[in-house]
Amino acid sequence: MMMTKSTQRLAFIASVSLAALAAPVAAQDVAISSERLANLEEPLATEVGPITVEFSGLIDARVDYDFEDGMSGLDDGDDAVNPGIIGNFEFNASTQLPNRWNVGVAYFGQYERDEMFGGEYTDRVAGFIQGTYGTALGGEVMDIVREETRRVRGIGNANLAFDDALGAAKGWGGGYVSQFGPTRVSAIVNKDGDYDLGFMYQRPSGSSGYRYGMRFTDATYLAPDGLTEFESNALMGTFEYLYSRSIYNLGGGVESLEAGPVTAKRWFVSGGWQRQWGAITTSVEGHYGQIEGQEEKSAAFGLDYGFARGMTINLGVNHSDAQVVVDGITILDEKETTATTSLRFGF
Amino acid sequence: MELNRRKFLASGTAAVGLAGLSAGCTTAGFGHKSSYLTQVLAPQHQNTVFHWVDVVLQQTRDQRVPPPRAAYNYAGPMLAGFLAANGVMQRYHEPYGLGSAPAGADPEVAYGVAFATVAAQCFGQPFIMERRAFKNRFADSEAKSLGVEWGRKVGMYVNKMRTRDGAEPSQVNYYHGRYKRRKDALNWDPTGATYGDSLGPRVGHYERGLFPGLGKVDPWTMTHSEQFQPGEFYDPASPEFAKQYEYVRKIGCVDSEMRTADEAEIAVFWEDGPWGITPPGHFLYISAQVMQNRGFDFLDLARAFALLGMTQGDAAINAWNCKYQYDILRPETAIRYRALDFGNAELSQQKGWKSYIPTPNFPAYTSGHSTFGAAGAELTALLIGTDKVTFEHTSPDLNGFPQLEGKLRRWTSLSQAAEENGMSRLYGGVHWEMDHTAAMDAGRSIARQAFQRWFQRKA
Repeated sequence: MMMTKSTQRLAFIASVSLAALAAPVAAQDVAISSERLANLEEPLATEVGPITVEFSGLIDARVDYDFEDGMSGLDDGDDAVNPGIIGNFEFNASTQLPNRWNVGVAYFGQYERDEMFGGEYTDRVAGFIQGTYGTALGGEVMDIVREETRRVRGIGNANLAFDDALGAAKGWGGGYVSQFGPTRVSAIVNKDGDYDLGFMYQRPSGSSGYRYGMRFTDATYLAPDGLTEFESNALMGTFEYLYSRSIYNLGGGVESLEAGPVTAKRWFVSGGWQRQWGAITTSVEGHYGQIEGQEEKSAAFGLDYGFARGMTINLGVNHSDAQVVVDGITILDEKETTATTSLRFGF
Repeated sequence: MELNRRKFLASGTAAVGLAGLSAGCTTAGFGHKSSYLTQVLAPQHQNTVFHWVDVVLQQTRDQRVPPPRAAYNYAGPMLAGFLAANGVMQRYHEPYGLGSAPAGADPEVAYGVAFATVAAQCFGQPFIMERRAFKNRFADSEAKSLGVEWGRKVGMYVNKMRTRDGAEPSQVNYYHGRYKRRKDALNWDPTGATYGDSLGPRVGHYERGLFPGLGKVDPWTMTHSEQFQPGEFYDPASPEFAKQYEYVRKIGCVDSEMRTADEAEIAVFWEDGPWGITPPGHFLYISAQVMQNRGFDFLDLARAFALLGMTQGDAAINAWNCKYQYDILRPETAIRYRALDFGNAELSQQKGWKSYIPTPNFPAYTSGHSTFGAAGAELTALLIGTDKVTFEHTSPDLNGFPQLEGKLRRWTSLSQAAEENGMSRLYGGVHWEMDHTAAMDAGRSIARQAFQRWFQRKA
């Protein structure tokens, strides 16, 4: 289980949070005092003059089990069971200017540690100006369009592999998000000229509701060899149908990858279903695609159980399988089935 | 055709742009199934005021604005629209000293421009298409130009007046030290996602309290946040509390044998969420329905909705101030966990108890639903001169509660609708009776003082 994957899983908290700047059984009888947790949170936001200061975070104590390592019986140096912890926090400060623009800055830090890879700290910073015509963002905000337009994320520790363009804009840049009626449009561009454009539309219709979105990305993809960089262009769409406590969703995309004389065409489809069952929410998802006729497959099951203020027990069973080589260059090389359970406290 | 990178790039960018445009970047027009007032307004009664009210009702749904913030977002635009039109027509007193509009300005144009200027700030979206479509309804003329100019001036005035009014930091779900948590067994605790109805929306797990600072936003018509604040909640050791406890435990439980089928329908009918016009919006919807054929001219209607919007804003402030000042727990917490902590031998704990509808993520006392409903119904009755109105409609929002499809409810008075709206929260098991009765008193008081004090007709 690569540490960078779990980093990716929780990194959404930063992107979701930063994106938000642009713009909140019987087993329940377990006697955990959630009011104490709520009291603990109260000092975490305050007003300093006209500035609203917030501090929030998350601690995720987790155990990963790798079925391949656990069942192969081979000693390849990897442990089948790998406990770890991820902690992250976000500090942000915002205020309303006399002209009614809202301005703010946010700093996000994440520390991750597991037995296999040791510890690692990563951070991100962003600022925003919000007015009637939308929000302009600057900093490490490259996930904004992706988060605005993506198919709904799996529950708990579910992580559906390959469910996105391989190319992604990274690093520092600027972005824009705005609302027009039921539609939200978003765009980012980084210092290398990579960019994302997206829109999302959502509205109820009678007793159900729907949401759909589209995104185009022009970015780069670094192959697993760490040397070959593909120019990527991808067009992706999503559709969600909401009824009562269920969300049914579909996604798909096409991607063009070019690295000198090597070119590869990719297409993929994904689908899933989420439902809340009282304090428990579950999701099942599947993905299938091809790159130059070579298959990529993945599936994920996720569950979370909320039992106190900020506290959830999470489960994810994730499978991925793709070995894609085009003109001697490996584009995808992954085959694993893992189960991850965690106790998470968000404050 | 071989799709090279340049073509892919161009076609992808174009596809996103075209799809975004075709998705619809505007609120639905009158007659469209997504328009709220189309459901209750006769076509001949559609006018500029109802048009813009419908725009903000829809925007509240499209952005999933929570109820107390929705009330704030209704207040500002409706106030600005009225002030702009009244500046032209000079029929009512206003306390802001705006003076007169330029002679000859079109009052309806001024209304729409002022309304949209403030709505854009409240919702954080420019309403570009809506503004353009509205202005295009009027032929180019000096009156139109003057109306645009005056409307914008009034809109900017209202925006400036409400800058740093406490609303922005109140959108954060933290206490900011504005209220102290109570220390006894009555204190509010975040509640779980369990509720019993087989159909219903997805809700959050033990979410942090919604907008704890909203009760400190500058009021619209009240003199201060505590103006109509009720007294303390019951002593939980008292027989009065025991009586309320048993009533809600029995009637609000998912498998209640006491709740009738009609009461079950009422509980769901008035939920008004989580993806819709919210309770304050529902009472604006009711006001539009019953006021449409009462002989109000344009400016009287503009005044009426300014008062309705402002009092809904004040209802939110009043209720949220009570909620976080008194910090009273929800029935779910009391019945499942705390019954034995109250020192009241008459209470029976029921660990597996589930409410019929979802418990909201903020304290119980007083009921926001009841405050919004009482303020809206009382003010509407004062405006039209009678409480005795017969009207009916299906739920404005079916999303989240598909069992409401085809369910038509009928009322013979505005106060009956408000009472039913408030009682729905007891039938659903999410409020105490005192949350409702105290809130009804407060809501009515807010409406009466606004009607008596604000925007009186000039001699």
